Amino acid sequence: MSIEDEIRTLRQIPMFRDMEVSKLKLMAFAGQRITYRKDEVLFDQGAASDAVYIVLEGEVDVVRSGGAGDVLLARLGETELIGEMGVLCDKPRTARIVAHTDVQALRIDKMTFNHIVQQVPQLAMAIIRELSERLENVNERLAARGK
Amino acid sequence: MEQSVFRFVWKHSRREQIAILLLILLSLPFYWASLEIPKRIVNEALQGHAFQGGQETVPASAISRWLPDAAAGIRLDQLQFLFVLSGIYLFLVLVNGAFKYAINVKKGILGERMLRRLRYELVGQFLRFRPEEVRSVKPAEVASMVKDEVEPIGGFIGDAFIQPAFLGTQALTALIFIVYQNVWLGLLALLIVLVQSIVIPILRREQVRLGRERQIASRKFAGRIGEIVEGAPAILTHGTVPYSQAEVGNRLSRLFTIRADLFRRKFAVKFLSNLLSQITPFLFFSVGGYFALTGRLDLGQLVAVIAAYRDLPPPIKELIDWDQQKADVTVKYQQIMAQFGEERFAREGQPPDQAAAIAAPIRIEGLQVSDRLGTTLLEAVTTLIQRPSHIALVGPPGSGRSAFARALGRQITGYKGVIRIGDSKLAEMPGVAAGRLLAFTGADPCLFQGSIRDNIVFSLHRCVPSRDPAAADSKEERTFLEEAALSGNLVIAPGDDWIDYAAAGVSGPDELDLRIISVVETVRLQDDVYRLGLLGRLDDGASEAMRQSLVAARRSMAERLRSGDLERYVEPFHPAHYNANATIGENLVFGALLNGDPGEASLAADAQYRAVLADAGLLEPLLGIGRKIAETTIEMFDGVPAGDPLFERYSFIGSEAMDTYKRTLASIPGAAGVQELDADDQARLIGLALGYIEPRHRFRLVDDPLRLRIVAARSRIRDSFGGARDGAIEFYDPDRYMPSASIRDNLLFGRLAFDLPDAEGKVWQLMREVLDASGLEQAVHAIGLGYDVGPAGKQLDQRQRSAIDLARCLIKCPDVLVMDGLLSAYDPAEGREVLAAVRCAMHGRTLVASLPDGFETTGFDQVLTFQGPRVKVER
Repeated sequence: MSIEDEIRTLRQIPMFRDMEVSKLKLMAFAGQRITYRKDEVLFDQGAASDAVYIVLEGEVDVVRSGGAGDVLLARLGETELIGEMGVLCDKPRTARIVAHTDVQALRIDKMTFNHIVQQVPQLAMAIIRELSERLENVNERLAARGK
Repeated sequence: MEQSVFRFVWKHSRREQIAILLLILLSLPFYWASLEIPKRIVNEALQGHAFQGGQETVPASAISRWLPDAAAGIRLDQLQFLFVLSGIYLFLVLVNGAFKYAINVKKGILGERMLRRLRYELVGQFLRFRPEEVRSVKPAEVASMVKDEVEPIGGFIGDAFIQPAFLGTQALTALIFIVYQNVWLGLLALLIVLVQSIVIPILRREQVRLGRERQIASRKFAGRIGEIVEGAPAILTHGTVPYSQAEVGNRLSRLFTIRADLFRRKFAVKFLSNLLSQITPFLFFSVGGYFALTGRLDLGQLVAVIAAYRDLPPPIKELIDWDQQKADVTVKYQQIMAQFGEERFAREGQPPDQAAAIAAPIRIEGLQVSDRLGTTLLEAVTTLIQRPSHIALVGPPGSGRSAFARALGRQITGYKGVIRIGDSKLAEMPGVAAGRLLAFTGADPCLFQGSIRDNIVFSLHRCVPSRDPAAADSKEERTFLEEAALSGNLVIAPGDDWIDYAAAGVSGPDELDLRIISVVETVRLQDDVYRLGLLGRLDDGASEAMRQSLVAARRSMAERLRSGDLERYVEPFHPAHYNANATIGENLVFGALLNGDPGEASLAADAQYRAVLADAGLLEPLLGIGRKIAETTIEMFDGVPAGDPLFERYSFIGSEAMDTYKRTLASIPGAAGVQELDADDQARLIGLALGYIEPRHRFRLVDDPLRLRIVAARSRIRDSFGGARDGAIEFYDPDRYMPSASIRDNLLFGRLAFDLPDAEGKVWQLMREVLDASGLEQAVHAIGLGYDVGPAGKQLDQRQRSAIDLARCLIKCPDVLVMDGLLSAYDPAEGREVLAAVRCAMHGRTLVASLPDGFETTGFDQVLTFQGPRVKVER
């Protein structure tokens, strides 16, 4: 997989859709493509949020540990962006990410990601849009519970 | 320091000045004689006045009546008489030259010695400034004053008393000689001298004023240039290069105007001076000639007068120059002294007595701190800090906690109220005593160029070595020490040991590194030091056993990688395989360059290297790869401002070279392609290709046939460089220690995989274990501590710089440690660890920590909570 393939994957992520190709290319280039074996951990719950990950190939499990043991929250596949909230809000990881299959992921470290967000207004707008949508979803769910 | 340059010179150099003056007096009879002899040559030898009365010969006593009897009786004919007189003249010329040489050398050395003293004292004066004054000066302005502005003062110092004495006596001798020959000609010469010495200084007053303006403008210009250099990243970030350059242009314009005026004035004065000195011979020829023709002056006297006058204008001119220089230098000296005035000094009281320094509480009474604009930063705090105790200062950023900490750390001394330790006022405590008692570390640490070790032990440099020049080991050393004493500098040699080992709690230099490492662990810098050590090389003095240990550790490392299922994280070097995680350049060279890594660009610029690539059929593919990299880099970084960190971290091409590469790409001719480019452009593109790593950069530019060709080219490079260049490359050999490769490369003998998760982290721990088991841990630490931090520590990140500053404070075991804003450099979790470790290290001593939000204050003996400039709560 070359950087051109990675850019094609990035373009499919809603947050990056409106970005110029050159900036997308820069983001991919600044990232590190990493191959994980099945069951390898991308990051742990509670760890410092030091990077965002984009799944290029394969699937990962989002697992949360608590009093009741490990709970599988979701299984994410190709084109999924992971860990961006922790990076943007400077909060520790809220879940553990484990490779469900062999996985190829693009890792973009925090400094680079934040820097590109500052450089690219379209990306900042897309993040605002994404966060607003998530907030709206939460509100709707809360409202539905209240009924 | 003395406020008058003459007092300064007389105070520190009167003995030497008097010695040189005596030498000048000693030279005068010879000078007089050298004026007298030409007259005698003309009158007595050439015109034959000595041979009056038809004598064929005269006794030698006719030359001088002081000749010894044996010589006086020798008879000389006219030709012999001429040669003897000419020989005496030549001898006197040589003697006068020797006197001049000796006087000038002594004068020059005296000037240099005084310049050295002046600079030394100025730096000493600056280091006595109050902290607020230190912050208000521009470094480049101080540097300009100490280095450049005192230079002419130094030049003048050697001349201050000697020049007027030397030139004055010389001119006076010549003048008296002329008067002695003929009163009228003497008066004529005197008149011209008077005109010169009255009119020219008047004309030069304006020149002095302009010189002073030039000095101030130049100093400000140097200060501004310093600011531009320091602030270059901000200028580049905001794209304000034209503005900044234009501002420099304005200053240069002002300087130009002053300098142009100076030149006009200078050459006008020179014109007048030349005119006067050249008009005099005209008068001598005409008036003197008239006297000679009318028999009132003989020809010899006229020749002597003209010869004497030839010697008169230069001393007079130089005396006038000296007078101007005196005016100029006096102003310069006064101006510099004004900048280093005592009113800027910190007040110094008595040092605290030892017992009080150790145990007395810190009393803060009505402490109030304001900034330069009068804004209150801290409002009337009165409190008592018991010792030993640990005190936390908390409050939002911008509250009084930082001002409180800085006042306690002696970073601010111009406050109202008082801080006392025992009976001593903290602000007035002598610097050396305060340096022993307390340490301060803030958010803006100051590192010096040098190793990490040098920076950490900097705080221990307080045992002033004492040296006796008489006990020096060599003549050079003795001269060095004697000169230091003569210039009022400390009498020490460069390699002298200043370290206060007792303060660090060790018995000598052998234990120091261990102590440094323990402090480095407290500030959580040990992994950084170890990593830097791994990237360094064993020095040339490393023992063979140590080298062999490293080769053995390499085998052990390979074994541990295998057994720990970590083999895939390191791709080993193999002579017959392409290493995908190494650059193309590394794969071609397949070894370490003995003279250090010249970088891809230098290798590519080497015509011989490119010729080898061409022979191996690699030139075209590498040019193609370079072209693709250049195109993609230019596309990606288009619009990214110069100086942006992304450039530093990721770009193949520096922001400053972007335009050059754009031109290179634009000059590629259509169909013929990159091979038609000139050598420089080709070297640029090949340089990019040599730095390419497929798994890292992922442009899919290296395929299997190319890998094979690169591996095949290794032998050509070996033959070419290993033979013709006498082994410039040390090729990788799994069984040999590689002196020019880093410890990490020696140990791993391969490259970490770019595409595997946390390869460095996983292998790192293993590397540490293997090195520690091989007994190389200390060597790695020592190399890491020897890492050069760069100017002002710029080779390190903010966290590392802050950690070194904290380590520097801890190593001297201060009785009181004040921390302000330093922990912000760490991430919160690590910051908490560091605080706990520092508290542990400061157990039984006093710690005052200004804490960022989110830090626990449990366990502190006292907590001061600030809100705005006030202390809100005291627990």
